[in-house]
This record gives sequence, structure tokens and C-alpha cells, in this order.
Amino acid sequence: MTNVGAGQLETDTSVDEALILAAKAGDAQAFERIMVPLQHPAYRLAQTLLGDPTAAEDAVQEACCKAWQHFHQFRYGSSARNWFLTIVANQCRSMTRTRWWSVERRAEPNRDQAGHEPLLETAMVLREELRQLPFDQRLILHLHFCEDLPQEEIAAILGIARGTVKSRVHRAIRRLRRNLGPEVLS
Amino acid sequence: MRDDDLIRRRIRDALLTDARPLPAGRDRAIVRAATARPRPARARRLRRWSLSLAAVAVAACLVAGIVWTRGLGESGHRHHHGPAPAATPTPSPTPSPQAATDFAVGTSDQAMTWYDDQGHEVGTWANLKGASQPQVSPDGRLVLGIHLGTLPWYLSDASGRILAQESSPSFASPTWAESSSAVCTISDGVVRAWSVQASPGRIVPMASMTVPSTPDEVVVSCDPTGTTVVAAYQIGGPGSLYRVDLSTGRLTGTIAIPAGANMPVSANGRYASLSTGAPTPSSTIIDVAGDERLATVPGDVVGLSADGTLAVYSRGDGCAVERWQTGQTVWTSPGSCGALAATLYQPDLDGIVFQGGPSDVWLVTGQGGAVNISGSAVW
Repeated sequence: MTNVGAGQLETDTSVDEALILAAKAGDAQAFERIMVPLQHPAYRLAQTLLGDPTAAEDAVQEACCKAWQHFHQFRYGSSARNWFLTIVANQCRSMTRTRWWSVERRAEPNRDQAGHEPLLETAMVLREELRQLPFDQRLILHLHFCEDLPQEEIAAILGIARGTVKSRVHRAIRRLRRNLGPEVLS
Repeated sequence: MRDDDLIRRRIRDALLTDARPLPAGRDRAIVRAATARPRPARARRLRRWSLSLAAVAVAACLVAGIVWTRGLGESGHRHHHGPAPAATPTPSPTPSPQAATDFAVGTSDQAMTWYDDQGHEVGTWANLKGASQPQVSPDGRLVLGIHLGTLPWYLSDASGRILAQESSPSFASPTWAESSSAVCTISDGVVRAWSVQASPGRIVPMASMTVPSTPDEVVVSCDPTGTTVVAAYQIGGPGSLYRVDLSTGRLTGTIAIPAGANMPVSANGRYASLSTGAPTPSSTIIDVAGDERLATVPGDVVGLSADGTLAVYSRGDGCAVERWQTGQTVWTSPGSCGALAATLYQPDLDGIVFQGGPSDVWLVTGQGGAVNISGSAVW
């Protein structure tokens, strides 16, 4: 099992004001210092949302271009990570709205798990069901369970109230339980 | 508490099991490819703001004049959000709309097959490898692609032959018109339409118009001639949806997008659907130009047909296609109802193509005919 960075939250930058001002002014190196650490969580998120590493890399690349183009709109004091993850999520959303952005490529099952059939089966069933979830539910589950973001930060990324985050996570889990049976998630 | 931990671990494992780490050095390469692209100059941004503010001032004067001459009681009540757009319509070679009778379906072996309106196979793509963000035209005959992080975009045919290239930074994330003869883009707040021709291969800018710019800007519909374009902001969060007429340079509709909402828009830019969610999922069909609620559909709408009269939606007992203006259900299936894949753009045949289950693609016509293309997966 390759839990890429699961639970490892890249620190959201104690980015200092001078660095942000420089990046806003068009300093590519300052922008690079802010953005490079954010590429990994962004790539994880894009893989969850698009289900394809190549497409995920495209999404992160395009999101990074947009971040560069619009960095003058970034407000000092807000979270660069949250700002960038919002752009990545919206980029993924727009890619899935555009027809034929890619062909579907399913990842091969991880062979390292041979010998753990019941567990593997449960994980595969759950994974398939997660793929069927609506985009927004996958997004919120990823931010909550994979990035371990607090509800306040998820609310900031999605532009919704904190209470809504909580209810949406519960709704997504309820749907998984309903479709998979209670034993898979309890 | 232990239950919560178990759920957390299982979901995290399921989501990240197949996730790959970013290859070494790619993080920096991605950022450098981004900064290699030209950034809009501050002066240009200020100029655009000035234009917007000037447009607002002129509009305010006009409104004040109308109110003064007609009286307050006769003033309109349509509301617009954000600064007024600055229009720069330019003379354009308008593409003639053609009936797009074919549609394309991606298959799991990385090829793409296109079908006619009866669901019969017409041809196959096999040259998408190496293309980043390949955008196949609705009729399945052309593809716009870009190599990762670099310009130009290229236009090619099914044989992989490059027909044209476009290196303008404003040509970003193109959205095909249903006619397959135009695309629409938005970059830095500038909505543009481009004429696309296969023979001779050409990508020609037609008209543009400036609307407020955000990092989340995206074109959500581009009508067959590339004249009416709908752009959205902050999809999934509170934002706005703008409908612009590039032939006149006028903003013809604005709708506020509620937080967390996903709003499918018909290809002609006329109708949008807004899911209203809990406790019982339902969707409201909205006239984009008038910001007027027209009908309610009992489920989550995943897509609208090209003319917007057919809605595909998930409901408790499966998936349905409905002619929402009359409430007539034209097709139902007990299976799930996935994302919209394509719409058929023809005067006498409205059809809609969407993902059913993981290996089911459905073509459903307004007359109730349905074709299942099994074993294929889309988008």
C-alpha cells in the first residue's frame, strides 16, 4: 500500500510578507519558494478528484499557471495552501466538465497486497464506491480524511460554512454506508 | 472514537492507495513552467479596471437618466453582480453552425471511438498519447492538445496530423462549441471565441469581451457559433455566472452561484440547473438571461441537452431523462446516472449522451430512443 503522504500535512507556510509582496510584484523565485511545497498536496488532491495521475499533473500545472497569473489577488494573511487547493479543485472540476479531457484509465490494483484478500476486497469495493461519489463529496472527503484539514480550513477552501462541512462529510459517509453495507465502514 | 479512526483510515487508504507521489523534481518544474508564461502587466490590469469602472459609471448615468425620465416605478428589477464588463467586440469570421451528428467515447485502452446518432461506430482515435489536456471536438473529428506546461496548443485530426497551432497565452482551456467549428476561452477575465477550421487548418480569433477575472474562471458553455458564451467563477463556492453576447459585446445575464453549487448549463447558454439538495434532492431550471426560475425537476440534474430542453437527473429509483418544460419523462433506468458526456446538436433530433454505470454509456434521444454503448467509459 502506498499511502502517499497520507496524513502528512505540508506546513502552510510561514510565508513572510516580503516573499508575498515580491511574488505579487512578479518575482518568479519568490513565487517558486511559496508554491513548490504546495505541489504535493495539490497533486494528491487532483489524483483523488480525477483518478488519473497524468490528468492530475495537467490539472496541477494549469492551476499553477492560474495562480501565477492571479497572484496579485492573493491576500497576505490568508493561507497560500488553501488558496492554491481551491484553484486546483476548481481546475479539476472544470476538466471533468469538459468532454473528452482524457480517456479513462484505471489504476492497476496494487499487487503488494496479495495475501490479504478480504482486506483488499473491502478496499477495492470502497475505492470503487468513492469513485462513484459526486465530485464535491470526493473533494470534501479528501480534504477531511487525507489532508487532515480542520473544518474551518475546509470551509474556507470550499467557500461554505463550517457546519455545512460537517453535514456534508456525514452525508457522504452515510451514502457510502448505505451503498456498501454497514460492515465496510464500521 | 475508535469507529471514527477506522472510518478515517479506510477512506484514506481507499483514496490514496493508488496515488502516486509527484516524480522528483516535478514540483519545481511545474512552478517554473508556470512562471515561464507571461504574466499580465499591472498597467493592463489597471486599464481593464478603469474600463470596467468607466463602464459602471456610464451605466449608472444611463440608469439614472432612465429612472429620471420614466419614474422609479417603471425601472427594471434585473440585478447584476460585480463590475460591468468592458466589451471589445471585433469583426469576425462567424462559423456557420453545422449539425453535429456524431459523438466520441473514450475507451479503456486509451483510444477514443466516435459514433453516429444511432450509436453506430464511425471511427477511432488512437493518437492521444503525449497530448496533455486533449480536447476532442464534439463530432469526434478534431482534437486540441497541448504539451504539458508549454505552448502552443495544436489542432490535429484523427491521424495525428497537425493542422494548426495557436501560441497566444489567451488561448487557454478551450471549450468546444457543439458545432465543432468554434471554441471559446477565458483567460485573465477576457472571454474569447475562436473559429476553428480543419481545411485549411486555422484557429482564428473572432471576438472578445472582458468580464471580472478570478483564478477559477472557466467557460461552461459556448454556443454553436461561438457568439453566446457563459463563463463561471468560483464554481463550487459562492460566485457568479456570466452570459455574454460577443456579437454585440453585451452582458446578457448574470446569476449568483450559491456556495457549493454545481450548475450545469445548456450548450446554447440559455438554461442552467441548480440543485437544491437536502432534504429531498431537486433541481431548479433557470433562464440564464432572465435569472428566472422556470421549473423544478425531482432530482439532481447532471446535464442538459444542447438546446436545454432535456434534463438528465438522478432520482431515488435511478436515472431519468425528462423534458422539463412539460414534465414528460422520456426515459428511465434503474441504474445510476453519471456525468454528461455529449449532446447531439441537430435541429430535428435532440439527444444527450451520459455515463451510466462504470461501463455504461447511454445515448438517449428526446423521442425516447436509447442506445447503450457497453464496455466503454467516458471523459
